[in-house]
Amino acid sequence: MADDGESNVTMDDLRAAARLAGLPLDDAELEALLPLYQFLKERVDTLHEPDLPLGGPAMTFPADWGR
Amino acid sequence: MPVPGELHHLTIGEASPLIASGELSPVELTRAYLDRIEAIDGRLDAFVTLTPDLALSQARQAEAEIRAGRYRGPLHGIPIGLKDLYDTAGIRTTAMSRVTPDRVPDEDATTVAKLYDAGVVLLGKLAMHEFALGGPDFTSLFPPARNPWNTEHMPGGSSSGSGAAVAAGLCMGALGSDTGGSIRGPASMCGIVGIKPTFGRVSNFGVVPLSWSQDHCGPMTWTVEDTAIMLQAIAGHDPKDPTTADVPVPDYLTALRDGVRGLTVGVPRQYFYEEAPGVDAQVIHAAERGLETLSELGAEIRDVEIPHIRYAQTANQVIMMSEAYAFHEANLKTRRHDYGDLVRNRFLLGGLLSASDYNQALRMRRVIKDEMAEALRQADVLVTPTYASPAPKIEGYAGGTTLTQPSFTGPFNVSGLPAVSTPSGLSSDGLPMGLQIVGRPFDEATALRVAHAYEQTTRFIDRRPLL
Repeated sequence: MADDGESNVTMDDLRAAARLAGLPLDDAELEALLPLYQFLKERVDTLHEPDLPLGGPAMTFPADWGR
Repeated sequence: MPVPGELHHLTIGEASPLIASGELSPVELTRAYLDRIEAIDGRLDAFVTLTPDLALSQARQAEAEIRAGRYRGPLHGIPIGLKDLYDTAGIRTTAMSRVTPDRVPDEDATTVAKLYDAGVVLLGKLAMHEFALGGPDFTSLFPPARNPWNTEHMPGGSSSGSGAAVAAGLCMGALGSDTGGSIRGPASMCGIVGIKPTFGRVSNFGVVPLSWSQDHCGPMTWTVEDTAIMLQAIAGHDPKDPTTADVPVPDYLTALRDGVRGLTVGVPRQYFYEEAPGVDAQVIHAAERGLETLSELGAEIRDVEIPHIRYAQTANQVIMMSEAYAFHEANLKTRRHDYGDLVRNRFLLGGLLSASDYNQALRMRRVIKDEMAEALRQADVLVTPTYASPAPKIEGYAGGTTLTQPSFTGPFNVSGLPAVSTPSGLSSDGLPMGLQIVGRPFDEATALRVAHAYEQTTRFIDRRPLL
């Protein structure tokens, strides 16, 4: 997991995201969450990199799916 | 007549004909399991609620019905357990959380109702990771379950009690649930069998949700045959769950007999067979040996590609945490300290993701599903290791492990494909490992068929943990 020194994601980023979500987290909670958030954010950013097809998400699973 | 002290080593497939013929009493069998739970479970913490009165009542009813010639089938009189997120009318269902410590549903989950109709005996409710996420957490409502093969180690999760109880012979079968590997992981770590059916094959109605679009209910048992028996009882369309598919349910037991000769086994080497941080080489070697066994049994082994597979775990987690946050948002804003430490942080992360993140994960799901479908046009099943390592120790378990360790199971929650885990041997530390067999959509039968052939050849199921 990325630690604070290796990540581009800062405590200020986390604090802003928590505020946007309406989560009233105190400093101790934010400190505990930061390493996980840094790891997740960097992983999630990779989902935005690939050039994906124009088709939308496949939310349903018809019985003959994939055949 | 079975020896009473050894009744807990009977499989469902062995016990059923004895019960049907009257050679084995469901009451005697149930008492044997209740006695064993009392003797053993203090070391495992697999059960969080016991239902001995109900169990003995159901066992007596089963015995009376069978004597009267009304045998219901292979689950009649069979003692089982349920992960404590399956709603059971009149019986506490906590999801292992201080958020819902006294919740008593007034209706059974559809799967529970189906098992009751099949005549099972309910021994009690089983431990789990709180709300089906996180890890073994001493800040949850109950202490974490322990692995019967070595009680210093976790039994996997989130269906931790289900895995531990089946492996320890505390019940003949159990239901687990699986959103990123929560059936297959504990099956692998406890040396038992578990299946995550196709999304839509089994109803989720009455099961506390983690991630609506990735939750799967399924059985965990000692053998593939027993898993087939339990899956048969719970599979099928449910008007109460609109995500279930109205497709015929095949005869899973009959399909087991066919062997693997003539089948093609696809091997997605990228990601699943690569050495990486958090991956124990022993699980890869065990899977490689599994491929050799299947080849010797007459299957064709062929490499296949899933080009975007490295994004699957992140897609699984983003969808999971986003949907979980939506379910728990109100409680997280007002009483988040009632959640255990591990699950609280994972749920909070879901609130920090954007709508764009969630939708990008859904778009990636479409890509991965299409690529897996293409791989399964070239093969009847895919075979991978189940879990990246044998069971970790409970002490010092890091809450982010399931986030950072490569997941071989989560990609198939993303795609919705059926996947079964069956034992692939023991590690150098004597801990079980698992082989994952993935089928085409709604083709659990072929995945079980391959698992059964492998199981009957390797006979890893003949080893039991010493307790």
